[in-house]
Amino acid sequence: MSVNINADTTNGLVLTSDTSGELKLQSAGADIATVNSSGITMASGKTLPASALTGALPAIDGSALTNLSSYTDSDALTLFNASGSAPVYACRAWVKFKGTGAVTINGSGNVSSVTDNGTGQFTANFSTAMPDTNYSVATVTSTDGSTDRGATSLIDDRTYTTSAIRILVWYGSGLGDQVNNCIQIFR
Amino acid sequence: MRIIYQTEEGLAVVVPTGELDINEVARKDVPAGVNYWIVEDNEVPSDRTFRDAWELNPTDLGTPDGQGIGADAWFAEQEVADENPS
Repeated sequence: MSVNINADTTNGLVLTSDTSGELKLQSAGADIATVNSSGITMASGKTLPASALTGALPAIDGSALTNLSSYTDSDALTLFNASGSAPVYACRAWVKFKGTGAVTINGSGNVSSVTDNGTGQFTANFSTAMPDTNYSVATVTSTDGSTDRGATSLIDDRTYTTSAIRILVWYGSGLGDQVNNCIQIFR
Repeated sequence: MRIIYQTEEGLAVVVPTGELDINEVARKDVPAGVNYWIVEDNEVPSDRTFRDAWELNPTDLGTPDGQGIGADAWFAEQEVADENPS
């Protein structure tokens, strides 16, 4: 048994009482929520809608909370399968694209687009800006394997900004389009 | 879809990755004050033999789809939007 507060569809407010220490909120005789010494429990199939949870949460004294997980630098190393104690710095943006024929994006992260500026000249535009221009760029390129001549890609510092990085793709003795082009940004 | 615009170097072709809406990509990744056109993929030649000679013909393309504002202004817009969510 329990103390029941029932919003009845015939009689309106219906109260019943006992000494169980348990309180039930009911609608048309059906349980909606139960309050007892353990806390509040929603009845089966009843939920607090997210739309009801608006506004700011009150300040919480974290020292009173239990069952919280905390993470250390060591946990981060484990997460990245890194051995030793050297820190891990994540890639902040990356893109792989095909630079021949119809330029095509193969995959990307935090890159909104690649601008084809001309033969062997491409710009990766970041979806979210870098914090400054002191980031490190790794860029590599390769041919399609039909030739053994090497290709390489270089930073073009005409565009080395918080929002974009431009590269030059070098093939033989000049600029040349290549199949596989990769850019990674670390900061 | 591609975004094309004219630069002093020649024709620039912007290939969106799909992370952002193409209209936002155009506003952000086209330099401030520069007209742009959004075109189908097949409207951009796939033969790049004379890539550096490509030019944009505004007469054929008609009215521009918009004008870039540049990345700095676009990111500033986003910061304001983040600070004042609707």
